[in-house]
Amino acid sequence: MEYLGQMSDNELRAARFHRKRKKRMDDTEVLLKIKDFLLIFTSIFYEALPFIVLGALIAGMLEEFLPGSLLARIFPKSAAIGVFTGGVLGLIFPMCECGIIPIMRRLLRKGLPLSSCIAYLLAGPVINPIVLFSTFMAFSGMEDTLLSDGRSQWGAIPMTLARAVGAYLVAVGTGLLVHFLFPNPNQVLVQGVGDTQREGSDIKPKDFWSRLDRITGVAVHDFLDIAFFLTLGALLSAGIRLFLTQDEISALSDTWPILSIGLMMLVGFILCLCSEADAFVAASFVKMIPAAKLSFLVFGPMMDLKLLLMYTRIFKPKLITTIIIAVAIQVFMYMAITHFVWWSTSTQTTTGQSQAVSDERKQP
Amino acid sequence: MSETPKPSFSLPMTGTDSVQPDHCAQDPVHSNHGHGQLQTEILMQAILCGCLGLVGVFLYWGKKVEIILATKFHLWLLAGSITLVILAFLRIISVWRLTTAGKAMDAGCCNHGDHHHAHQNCDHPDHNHNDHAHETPGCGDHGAGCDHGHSHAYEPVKAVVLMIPVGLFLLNLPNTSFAAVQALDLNQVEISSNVADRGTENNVSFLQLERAAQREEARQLYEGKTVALVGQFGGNDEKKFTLIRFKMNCCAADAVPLKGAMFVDPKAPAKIDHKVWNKKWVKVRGQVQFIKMKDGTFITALVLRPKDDKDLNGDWIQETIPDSIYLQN
Repeated sequence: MEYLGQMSDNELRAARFHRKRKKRMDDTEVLLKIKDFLLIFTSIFYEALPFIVLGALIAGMLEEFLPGSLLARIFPKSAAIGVFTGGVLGLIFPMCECGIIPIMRRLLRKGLPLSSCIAYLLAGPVINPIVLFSTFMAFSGMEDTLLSDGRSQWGAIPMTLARAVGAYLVAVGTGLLVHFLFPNPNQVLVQGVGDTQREGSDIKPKDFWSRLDRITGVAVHDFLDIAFFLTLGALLSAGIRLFLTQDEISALSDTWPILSIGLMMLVGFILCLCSEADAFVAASFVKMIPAAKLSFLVFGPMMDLKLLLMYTRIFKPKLITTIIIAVAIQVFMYMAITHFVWWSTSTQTTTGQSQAVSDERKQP
Repeated sequence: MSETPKPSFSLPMTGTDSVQPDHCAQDPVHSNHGHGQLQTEILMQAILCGCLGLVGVFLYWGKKVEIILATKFHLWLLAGSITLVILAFLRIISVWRLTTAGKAMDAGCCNHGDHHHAHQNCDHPDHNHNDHAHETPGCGDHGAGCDHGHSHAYEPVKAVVLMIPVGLFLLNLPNTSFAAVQALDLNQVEISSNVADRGTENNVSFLQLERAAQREEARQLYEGKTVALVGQFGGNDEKKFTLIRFKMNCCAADAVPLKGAMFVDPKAPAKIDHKVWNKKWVKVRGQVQFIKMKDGTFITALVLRPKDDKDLNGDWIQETIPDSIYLQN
């Protein structure tokens, strides 16, 4: 106050003006951030919406038209083969990570083993033609990009292959682990999910209206159930993204290249991107090591905020915790190996190029 | 038989979830299940689906979808939304049809007609409905919010959360693309004064230059050429600013900002009227340079060479309306 008393009227007026201006600017910044938050939330929600509708409709159809015994008849009897088969089901039933959940829930009810369902759930969003193609496109030409230490990035083919192989191995590994840890699936499934359809006691509706009632009932119920958790996940993701920009992520990755593998898994968890789109986002981190980008591409479609909330509609916390730990550890290990492979091969390439350049210089 | 099931890991059911636990003791054949309430709940579920579907259709119709989704997803959203509306309509029709046909109980959200609680065979003294086998898929999905093992309620919490997108649409939000984007820090960035003029190149996009910046040969291909780029103005300097354009693959959540550094030739006397241009969509003409940043990456820069202020703020920088908000792969 003493200081203020020493200020002239003009200085006081100027100080007030600057305070008001700063407050106005702060308010504007907050307003802009809120607008961006709403934009990100809305985009995540409406991008996933059609696929959840599709998934819910397919779930309704499966419920009505797929006999409970059929899957049990055609699916491999051996649990291990079932898990390996589940890992490539995405090639036959291509579906993104949001749409796959209602389908998997119905397949579980129809008697598909839990371990196979887990393998399908985790690998399906990556090992499907659309996602593999988008990964290929996103990383086309990337091999020409050099990191600051002179090593070249991986291009379309190695990135696509590494992503597919990584997703498959992690999904199969987790499926097998679940098979051994939880021999009785009903203990780790939300009440009712594991109640498989019983032949003989299942009184099927006969007429069209009953069938329609049954299909629409299941579809509406599944849609609302999953969309609720999608909304919560999208809100959370949009909120976190206000404080974590791509520039900050890039800066962190540059500082600690190996830790960037774990960091990018975390980023994949937070961003909640569709598996069709995430390759383009990963490709935009041009100065990041390939293993870090791959960890984002493998972990994200298996486990993110919205999926975590959606999983609570199927799995009990015990199983969710098991899946998270198993997936995280496997992805990290796989990426560490991948990083080693890339580091070894890219060093040789750089050495080879340098040799070629020096040979050229030696020529008259 | 009398063991109470553990609650599932789900949000608590609220509101109308609690179907009276003793209702079946009064009427073991389910006639007192509250059909009116059940129908209201099914109706609410269907209306919620219909509302979300209609919002999707209106987003497409009003072209607001362009703000949030890439072009390839526009038809997906329309198809999904129409399907949702149809689904809601069919749900209402089927329930109404079955109700009027005297099969109201069969029309429940989990098709009670298809499974057996076997009430006729027990006297219910020491157990609740959870002890009965739900033989129909669809039952029991609702968690353990009530003695039934599942809920028939439309669940107000869910309804409120799912109405958020509807509410935002009614509030006309979101109505712009990204707003809070930081301009490049160009304080210690300098342009080269000895880049040869290599003529004008039309039809060069922001995306092409962004990609070219990553590769040595491509940089050589474009450097020195005069091009025009479209983006949003950012910055408050009289001699330099950032041109910002977002690249989108699927939706706004995966949009990546492309930032170009725009410099007025230091020899030119003209100054940028940044208060007029700030945040506006502009078309900028300039000579391409690629500037190496501290972290080793290259950014695209344009050098503007105007005669005077008027030339700069009317010819080299022009206000424009972009063909689309985002650049798409």
